[in-house]
Parts: sequence; structure tokens; C-alpha cells
Amino acid sequence: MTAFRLLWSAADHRARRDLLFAMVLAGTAELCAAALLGVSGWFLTSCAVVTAQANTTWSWMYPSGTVRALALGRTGLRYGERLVGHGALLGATVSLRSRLVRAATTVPARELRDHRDGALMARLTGDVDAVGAMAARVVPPLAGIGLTAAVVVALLTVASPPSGAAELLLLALATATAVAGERRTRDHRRTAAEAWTAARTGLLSARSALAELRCLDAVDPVRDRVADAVGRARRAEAAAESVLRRSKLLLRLLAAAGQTTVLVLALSGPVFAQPAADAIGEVLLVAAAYELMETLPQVLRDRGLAADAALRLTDLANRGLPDGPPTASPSPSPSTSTSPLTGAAGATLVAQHVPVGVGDARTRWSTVIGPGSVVLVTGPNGSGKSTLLETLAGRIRPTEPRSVLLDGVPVESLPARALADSLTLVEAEDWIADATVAENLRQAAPGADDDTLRAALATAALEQLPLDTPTGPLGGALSQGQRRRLVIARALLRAPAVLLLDEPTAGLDDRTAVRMLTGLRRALPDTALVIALPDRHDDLLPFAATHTLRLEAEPASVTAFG
Amino acid sequence: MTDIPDHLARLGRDDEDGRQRAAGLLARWAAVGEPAFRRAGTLRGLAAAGHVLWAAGLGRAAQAALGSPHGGGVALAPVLSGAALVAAGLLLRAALLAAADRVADGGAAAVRDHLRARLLLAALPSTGTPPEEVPDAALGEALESEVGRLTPWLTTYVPARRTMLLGSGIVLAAILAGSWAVALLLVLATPLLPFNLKVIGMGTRAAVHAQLTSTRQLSTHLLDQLRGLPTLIGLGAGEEAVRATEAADRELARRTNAVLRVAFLSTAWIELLITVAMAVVATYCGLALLGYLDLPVVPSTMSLGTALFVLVLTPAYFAPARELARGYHARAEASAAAELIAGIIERAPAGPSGRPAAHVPAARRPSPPSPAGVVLEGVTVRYPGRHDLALDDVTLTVPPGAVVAIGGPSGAGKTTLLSVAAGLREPDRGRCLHCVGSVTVPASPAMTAWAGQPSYLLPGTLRDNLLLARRDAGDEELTAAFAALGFEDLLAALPQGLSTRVGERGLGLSSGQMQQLVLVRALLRDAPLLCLDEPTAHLDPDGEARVIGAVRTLARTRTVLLTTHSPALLDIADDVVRLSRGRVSRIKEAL
Repeated sequence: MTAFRLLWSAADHRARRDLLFAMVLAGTAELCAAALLGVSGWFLTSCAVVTAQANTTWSWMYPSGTVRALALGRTGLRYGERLVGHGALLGATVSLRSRLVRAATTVPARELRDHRDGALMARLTGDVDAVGAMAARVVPPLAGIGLTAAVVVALLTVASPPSGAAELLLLALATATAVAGERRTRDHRRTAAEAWTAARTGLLSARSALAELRCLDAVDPVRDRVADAVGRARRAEAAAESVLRRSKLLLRLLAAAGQTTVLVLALSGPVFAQPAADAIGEVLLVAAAYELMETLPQVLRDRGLAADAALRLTDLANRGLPDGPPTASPSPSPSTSTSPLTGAAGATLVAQHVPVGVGDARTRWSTVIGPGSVVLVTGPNGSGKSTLLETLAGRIRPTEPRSVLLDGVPVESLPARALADSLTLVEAEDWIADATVAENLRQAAPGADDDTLRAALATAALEQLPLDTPTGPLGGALSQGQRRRLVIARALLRAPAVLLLDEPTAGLDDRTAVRMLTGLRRALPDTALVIALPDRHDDLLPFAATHTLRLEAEPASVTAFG
Repeated sequence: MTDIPDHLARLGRDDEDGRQRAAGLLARWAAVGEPAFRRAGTLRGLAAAGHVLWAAGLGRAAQAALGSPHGGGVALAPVLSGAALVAAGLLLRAALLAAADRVADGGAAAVRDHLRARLLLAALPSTGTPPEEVPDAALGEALESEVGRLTPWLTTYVPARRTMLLGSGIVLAAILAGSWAVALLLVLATPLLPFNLKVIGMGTRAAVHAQLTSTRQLSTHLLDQLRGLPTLIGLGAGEEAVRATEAADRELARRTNAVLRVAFLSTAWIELLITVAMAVVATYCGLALLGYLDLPVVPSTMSLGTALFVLVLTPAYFAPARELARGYHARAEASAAAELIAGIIERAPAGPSGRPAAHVPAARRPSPPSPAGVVLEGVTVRYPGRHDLALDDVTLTVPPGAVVAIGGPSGAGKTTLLSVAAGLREPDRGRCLHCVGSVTVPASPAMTAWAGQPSYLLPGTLRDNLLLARRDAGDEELTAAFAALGFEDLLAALPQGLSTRVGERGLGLSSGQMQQLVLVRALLRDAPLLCLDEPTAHLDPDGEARVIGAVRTLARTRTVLLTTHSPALLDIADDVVRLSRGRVSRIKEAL
């Protein structure tokens, strides 16, 4: 999908209107700028000619008025163009982003997890901004350049066909130069991007192995190796810069040829010699047109960046754009606090030969997790507990299809929303919004009143935390234990049929941990619980486990390495 | 991508101390390429001379055309000479600008290289404690994008002041030669050029700042929401999240738009000044040409050539100032990047070339190695931002040639103790010494071979990774090292032997194989002290037995310090040190 199509199809009515308006304003503003120069020159020459001819019928008022009007018009139009263009930029960016965010909500959980390392963030911020920026940085300037060049060529052709033809040819050459230059930079940019990836990988590997490298006295050679990759990237970037410089130089040389040609043809052309005033006006118009052409490489570069970003967005966009905004959102979350037992309560999670543990000691595990049952997963850090929980929650694609079934349906085929309605996973370091405790809880239960929220906090043994406590960025204002209990209280409000808790007792003293787990079981008696606890904590469970899965210290070399 | 944040930053710039600091940093960094930027500024300024030639050519051609107003009979020579002047001026300008761009790009590249070298040095320091607080992602980001973000500032803004003085000066001198009245007019108009927003008025500024604060809050909120998207979807709150992000985004856009309305005024103001100056000059020259002008001091006649000359030079006079004003966007972007980069560079433990020679003892590579003793005296370590001590007053002596195991629950400080003993971490209090023979020196990684948890191989071939330990080793020596530890079958099992590519994400090597390779590397490194962090944590009983055998072999000529939970490994230890909450709670004589 090209960047422009993406921008246009995502933009709402108003942003589209703004975009068109910005194009018109930009075109008119650039025309005014060119005309200001051209008309001023024509006016001066005419004044001189009139004086020389002692022509008394010529009125200087109109042309001089036109000059003033053009001067004010250009300023006003430029200001307007910037405002409208940025208005379109902001509007289009907002619409595009909200479409893509919506698309992201339909992505299966496991794909979202793949995006978790910041890639989704990069798509939704940097790339969306790059595409949105077209609305101010690419489309209106291109309109300005195109319109000015067209009008200048048309005027010239009317005044003197040879000049018109010559200018048309030269302007076409200039455009071709800029486009060809941009195309060549793109190759260099790709080389640079590859070198950067190598440098980044090298840097991160070296950082991981820094202790070893220092003992091997090998930090310097390894650093040099990273520096080599950086050097390759830098050379590719320098090559791109040099191409850009060369195409700018070529454009300026073409401008020199264009202006000289018009000047000579207009003043002393064998056939179509023109009045001096017209000739000077034309030369200045052409000069203005070429000055505008000089910005073309920059504009094309921004377009190239937007095109690259659009390419990266294609997946998300294809998911979000064809259907348009989803038809009236399915009835808001059924499992709010008021109806804890409705919805998918009573669902059964079945694991069939799910691989557990990782690396050489990988085995397979089958079980039926029915309503009200409790599965305890223990093992030391890195023994694959989190991986198992994420597999059960559908966040990781199981190695074999249909190995995890929720009420008979493979979790990997369930849409995120359906999955969310019956199953909740509380990750070890779950995200907490930079807001208040109450706002974080209401993510799970949008309509809940304060008493419900307080009750949920009390269940999670967090009753001493007032609802209006600010949580800080990523929950940083709370202690680790408070963060744990807050995300568990949040999950409680979902009253899910299946609740998966990854290390719920981290950062809690034993008494609080027991109180929290007891409250949890009492509040959700029919919920199937899957609880992962580290070795030391597995005696904290205040109720009997239906199954216990003990994982051995066989962490995956591969995951640990990444 | 968009220049909106720059606009915002630009408006908010002068009420923040951080900006001042960033400006200082930027100036210091730009000094690296200073001669280049000066040259670029000069060249760009001189390019104004090309503009003057171009204007002179136009004037000359117009004057020539005026000579025969009815067309057709224009004398060819003056037109051609005018045209030649126009072409020469444009060519001169094109050449000078291209040269200036080249020089400026070169200077910017020098600055970027300098910063990247320093960033790499900070990320991978040869000595001292590496900056752990800096997340790896931020390092990669800083190395690539943040440094790149300085480029527009370096290439346009830094040379712009010089360009303005020289370029505007040349143009003004040329105009002065044509018409002093016009020159005077332009000089009088100059103070009206706003280099900051003072012209817009202090009152608006307060309003803008209020807007800015909320804009910043909103964009933080938006980023936070986007970050939490996976969690929110898991909570079934996807639809709410979409609505909330969109609301935040819209509100942000609305407020940004309000700020931009003011921000764009400053650009509009400069443009208004330029266009009005042009209109006034055009009118004045026109009236002078028509002979309608009758003013006391000001000249009332003018030739067409001069009139055209000063008219087309008028915008050229203001152009450098406009560039300078535009450069503020670039500066705002650079300031933001500077703070990030400085945050990493300034955490570097030592100066760029600070490799204290004292840390490399004379007996660095004894051959054959005689085992080193390790003495820890009252060692205390506290990690920044943590309440409790990682190590609390630990005193411990490891006699040369001993195998000492460190046990204890996870989080007890085992790895910290190991890295202090290896000389990788300076204790906050107390000291750690290595004794080789009769020499006692401060603990140094140069005396140590280290295998971390998990063990890491770098991207590259197996040979590359092993050669890190002994750079001049030949393939036989490497193969012999495998044999010495009884790992010949491992080498045979690898598809391309020493040329097998390993590294990023292990590529097919099992954790057992990786651990064995790390031990081979430790053997190749003739260090008198071997530190192993959980060497058998990943391994099955068979793999563990192989590693234990290798550790026994290595222990013949080395002191071995290791952390472990494994009973089998504890068995081969002479001493077992138990750590609990950073304190040595028990020392058990295993023998």
C-alpha cells in the first residue's frame, strides 16, 4: 500500500478536506511568490520603457498594487498553508493511529506478544508519524512545485513557444534528476540499515558478554568490530548524502541553463523576440520556479521515508482498513463486577501434549483444567513457567495446533476479544498505566463503582491503598508487592473463567501472600486457576492444588540467550 | 518525523535549565568539526556573490533590451554578456553551495564519529564498572538515531550565523553600490527580524507555556496507553483503549494546533518582512524610473539595470536570516538528542582513553600459570536505587589453587561476590586483592577467566570466539584445548568444526555445548583465577559430569571460584561459602 493511499484511506472527512485545501493553498502561495518576483521585474522594466517612450497613458497604480497584493497574499497564504497542512497532518495522524490501534486489538494475542519488544510502539509512533507527516511535508510542497512549474511553462509557451518547450524539457530533466537521485539514495539507505542492524546486534551481544570479554582482555577488538559495522553504515550514509548533494548540484546547473536560455531566447531570439518587460518578467518567473525545484530532493526524501514506513505498516493496515471501523463494538465486556458468574464462567481449558520445560529436558504435558480446579506450576527461575502460562493463554503459538483448547476451541484461533472474555493472564511484570489505582482497576471493569473497586483491592489484600493513589509511570510509584496485588485485583474484576497468575507472590511477605491467595480463591470459587510459583514459595498455597507440575532447572539456552 | 515537537520544544526552550545545559553540550560537540563548519559558513556566505553576479547580469540584459524597446533589434553583445553573467553567477553559486554542503557534511560526520566512538566506549568500557542502568535498547537507539538527529543542526544551524554575516554583508554592499537609499531601507528593517518570539508578545507566551505543559502530559499519556495495549487487550478493554488513545491523541492534536498557530506566526513575520520590503523597493524603484519621485534627500532617478539589480537582491539579503530562524527547529531537535546522548556518555566510568595501566600487573600472563589467591576485606556493594546491600561487609580468603564454591539462595549476592573477586566490580567499601606468587595487586580482570550465567558467544565463527582468549593460537592449539578437557567429540559433532557459525541466539548449540565451549575458552586463557557463575545450571547429569571433569582439569593450575546449587559440583569444592542476604553466613570445610 503506498504511503499516500494509506494516508488518504485512513484520513477522516475533515482531514481529507484539509489536505486538499493545503494543496490549493500551497500551490497558490508558491504561485504568488513566483509572481511577486516576476511581476516586480516586469513592473520595473515597464516603468523604464514607459519613461523612455514618454507614454503617458500607462498607469503604474495597478501593477504596483498587484505587487503589494501578491506580497501580502504570499505571506497570508503561506501561513494558511502551514496551519491547514499541519491541521491535516494532525488529523490524518490521529485517524491513522486510531485505525491502527483498533487493528492491533484484533491481532491474535501471540502476534501482539511478538510485537512486545517495542516494535508495535515503533509502528504506532514513528511510522505513523512518518506517514502522517506527508500531509504537511510532501503533498502540499509537491502541489506547490507542480502547479508553479505548470503555470510557468504554460505562460512561457503562450509568450514564446521555443522558450516554453526548452523550459518544459529542462524542468522535466530536473524532476528526473531528483527522482533518480532519490532512487539511488534508497539503495544506500538500505545498505546503511543493514549495517546498523549488524552494529546493534554486535553491540548488544558484546554487552551481554561484557564480563567475559573484560576477563579475556578482548573488549577493545570486539568494540572495534562494532565500530567497523558503524563505519560501514556511516559510509553508506555518506554515499547517500553525496548522491543528494550531486542531485542538488545538477538541479542548480539545470537552473542556470534554464534561466540563461529564457533570457537569450526572449531578448534576442531570432523569431520570437519579446518586449523587454515580458522577457525580464519571464526570467524572474523561471528563476522562482527553479528555486522551488531545489527543494524537490528534500521533499522526495521525506516521501521515501513515508513510503518505507507505510510498507512496515501494511500488515496492520490491511487488518484495520478494509473493513473500516468495526461494526458497533460487541456488547461491552460482559464480565464486569456486577455479573461475575455470567459470560464464559465454567469454561474448561484442556492442554494436550503441551511442551513444558525447554531445551534438552523438554517433555509434554496433558491435563484438563476444569472449573474450580487449581493447577500449581513450580520450578526455579527460568525453568519455563512463564512460557507455559503464556502458551496456555494463547500468547505463544503452540508448537502443534490444537494443543491448547478452551471449551473445545483451539486458543490460537480465538480472536483476542473472545479469549479475553473467558481467560485472563497476569504476567510477572504486568503493565500498569501511569494514572490512579482506580483508573487502572477500571480498565478491567469500566462501569464499576468505587465500592466494587475497594472490594477487589481488599480481596487482593491491598485495602490500605486509597483508590486515588497515583501509580506513576509503569507503576513506579508503588512497591513491587503493591504492583503485584494491584494487577491481581484488576484481574479479579474480570472474574474470568480461567485465571493464570505468573508469580503472584513476588515481593510479598508470606502472610500477605497467603491472605491474598485465600481471598482470591474465595472471590472466584468457580474459576480455574493456574498459578506459577518459584520453588521457595510453593508451600504458600493456602488451598489444595488439583494438579502440580514441577519443572526442573533446565532453562532454555535459546531464550536465556536472547 | 514531524517538526511539531520541534516547534513545541522551540517555544518551551528558554524556560528550562536543561536547554541551557544541552546548548553547552552541543557547542562542545560541534567544536570537533568547527573548522569544517566555519569553512561551510564562509562558502555559503560567499555564494551570495554568485547571487550578486546573477542580479548584475539580469540588470545588464534588461538595460540592453531597453536600448531597443520595440524588440527584434536588440544588440546581441550586451544581452549575451548579461546572460553570461547570469549563467556565471548561478554556476558560481551552485559550485560554492555544493562545496559548502560537502564540507558541512564532512564536519557533521566527524562530530557523529566522535560521539559514536564515545558512546561505544561508554557501552563497552575496557575498565571500570559498565553502566548497567542504561537499557540496551536505549544504547542502540542513541548510537544510531539520536546521534543522527544532530545532523540537521550541525549542517544548517551551526554554519548559519557565519553565512548570515558574510552573505547578508555581501548583498548589502552590492545593494549599497547600486542605491544607498534601498540599502538604508534594508538596514532599518533589519532590527525587525525576530530571532525569537519577543515580537509575538510576552502575553501570548505565558498562554503557550500553559498549553505546552498539558501537551507534554498528553503525549506521555498517549505513549503510556500504547505501551499498555497488549495488557489492555488481554483485559478485554481493547475497545476502551482505542477510544481512550484516540481521545488523548485528538486532544493532543487540538492543543498542538493551538500552539502551532502562534509558532508559525514567527515564520510568517519574517516572510511578511521580506515580501513587504520587496514591494516597497519595487514601488520606490518604479516611481524613480518613472521620474515621479520628488523627495528631499533620496535620489529620485535610477537606471533600469540598477533598479532590477537592487530589487532581486532584496530577498537575498533576508534569506540567510530566514535560514537561521528555520535552524531553530533543528536546534530544538538536537538539544533533545543531546540530553539523551550525554546521559550515556557521562556515565562512562573513565575518560575516553582512561585505561589505568596500574591494573595490568607485570605478572599478567605467567606461563605456566601459577594459581592466584583472592583476598576480600570488608567488601560492601550496594546497587544504585536499591535499599539493601548486595554484599554486606564480606571478608574472605581463597588460598591459591583452591576450588571454592559459593552457595546460597538466589538473590543472596553470589554473582556480585564472584564479580568482585574477578575484579569486574569495584566494591563500594573494602577491597579485593589478587596474590600471585609473592606479588599482591588489586583484583583485576586481567588475572581472571570468567564464564557467566548464561554464557555468551559473540556472532561469528567458533574460531573467532576462541581466538578472543588467545589471539595468536593456531587451529592445532585450539583443537588441543578441546582434547585437554576431553571435549573432542563436541568439536567432531559440529558441522563445520571450528568454522561453525555461532553467536546470536546460539544457532543450534545446546546449552551444554555452549558451556563446554566457554570452558575451552577459559582454558585457552592462561589466567591464574577462574570464576564460574553456575557452570552446570543448564545441564543434564551427563553434561554436568563432563563440565565437572573439565573444572577438575582446569583447577590443577588455577584457583577456581564458582557459584552453584549443584551437589555434585559442591563435592569437588575444597571450601563452600554460604551467602545469605549479602552476608557470609557459614563457611564449611568440605574436606
